[in-house]
Amino acid sequence: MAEIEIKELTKFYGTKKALNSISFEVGQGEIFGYLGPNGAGKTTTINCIMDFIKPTRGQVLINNLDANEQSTALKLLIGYVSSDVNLYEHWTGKDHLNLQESIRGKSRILTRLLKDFQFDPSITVRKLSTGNKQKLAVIMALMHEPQFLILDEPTRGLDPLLQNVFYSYLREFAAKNSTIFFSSHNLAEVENVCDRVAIIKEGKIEAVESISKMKDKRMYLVTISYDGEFPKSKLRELKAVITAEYDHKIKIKVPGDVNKLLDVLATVKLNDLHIEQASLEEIFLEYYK
Amino acid sequence: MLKIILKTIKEKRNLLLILRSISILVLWLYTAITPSLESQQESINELLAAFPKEFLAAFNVESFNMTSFTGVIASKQYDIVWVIMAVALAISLASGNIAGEIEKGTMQILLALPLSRKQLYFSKYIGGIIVMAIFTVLSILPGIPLAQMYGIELDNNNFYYFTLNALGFAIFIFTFTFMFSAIVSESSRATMPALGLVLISYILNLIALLKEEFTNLRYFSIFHYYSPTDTLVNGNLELNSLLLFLGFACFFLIIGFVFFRKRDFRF
Repeated sequence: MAEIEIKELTKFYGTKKALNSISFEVGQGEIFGYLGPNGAGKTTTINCIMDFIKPTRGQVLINNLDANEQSTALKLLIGYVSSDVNLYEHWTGKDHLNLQESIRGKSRILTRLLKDFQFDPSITVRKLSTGNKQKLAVIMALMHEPQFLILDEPTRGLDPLLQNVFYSYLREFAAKNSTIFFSSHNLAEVENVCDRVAIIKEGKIEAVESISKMKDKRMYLVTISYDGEFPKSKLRELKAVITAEYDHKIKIKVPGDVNKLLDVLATVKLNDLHIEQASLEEIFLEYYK
Repeated sequence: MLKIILKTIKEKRNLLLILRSISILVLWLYTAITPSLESQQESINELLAAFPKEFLAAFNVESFNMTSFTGVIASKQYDIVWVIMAVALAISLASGNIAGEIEKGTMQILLALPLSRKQLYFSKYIGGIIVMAIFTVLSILPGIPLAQMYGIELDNNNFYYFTLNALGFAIFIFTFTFMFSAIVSESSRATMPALGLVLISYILNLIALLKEEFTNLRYFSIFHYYSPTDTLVNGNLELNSLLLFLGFACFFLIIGFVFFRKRDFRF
């Protein structure tokens, strides 16, 4: 059963169409990724879900409640992390947490969250690093074990260890039937955490796919420095594209499974090898032209 | 809702303390010099007789406000110093209350709480009004014990009437700025109309005082309805002025709410 339903959501900013009649559903207990390059409409969608902005047309239903008309009741069920964390600079972490508790009630897991995220709430926000501010925002969203988590690039500024702590909380919440809407432009992160993903580009939903299908659309940027001959003919079998070629150095773009490429490279005498995952923008250019 | 009201008050407590202290200190200064001014009433009257009447009227200089306690504080403290402080506090508080929070992005924290926009808007407004009321009361009523300290006789009711008149003025300026704060997304853009209103009002009032043919212009100036001399010196309650201030404040409050309820918050 759909817990979050986005129905033909449209938003104009003046004459600019930020969202163009987008529709999709998120099921109960699902971690749903929302992928798109910067300016695609991710934050606008989330702002509509949170009732920060009013849609020009269409509707957002959460738990069968209209996000626009019944937002007060809904926000009691929602934990939210913004893409740009803005906190009260002269307040301590504890002041922020107290504000949440004074309105939402006492948190049962706050002590555990503070320990797991290694966060000291006694420090004034202006003295906190970007990462620590992000920790506080994440703790504020999770502390009341919400039925819905609306997350707009929530791991920005968190170090890899704490990102893993955060992911484990998401999995724990999802196991308890919380529904998680997770916006990101980091494909690897979405692959790691989410069950399904919607891809938005220029305000339109390009695809809603399972993560296994998304994995087929991975792409690697490979720089190879070699001695002797390079078997370029085998690259065609991998559907790889040569993007640059110098003296005994080649740059290629390889879609799909990287293991097949490694089989080819095993036959070559390598001087140096650099493999990186293509950015979402590059994948968009390849698959969602 | 109470938490948001308290948050608003807490955020301005330092500014409130500073302005209140300055106001009391200046009030104390005028109280302390009043007995010596009273003893020189005759020579001050002779001095004033040498000036053109229009000039004295333009700067609200009359014999009683150079020599009596209530006259001195009405014309020096409450016609100038207090107005500047009240306007500064009202504008900074109201513009920062909504537009300032949108500008800094902290409004997101409040909007994500399970509070309706109505609760949020009115909590912030009530918090602001409480700050303005604390400032007004604590910067005017200490005049009563100070006067007693220096053995100056006065009618306490005049101070209460003036407090009401001044509170009406402060609420008017606060609510006018608050309305713009609810509409725009930058505190400077909420500040400008309020500063413009104060400046235009001042100029209209001045023209009305200087030129007899333009005397009716004074009705378009908020300073015509804020009258420390009429209340503190003459003991008039000025109920019409109070009702006018509060009536317009209600109008601004409703207009601001209509926009706040429907508006987009882009972060």
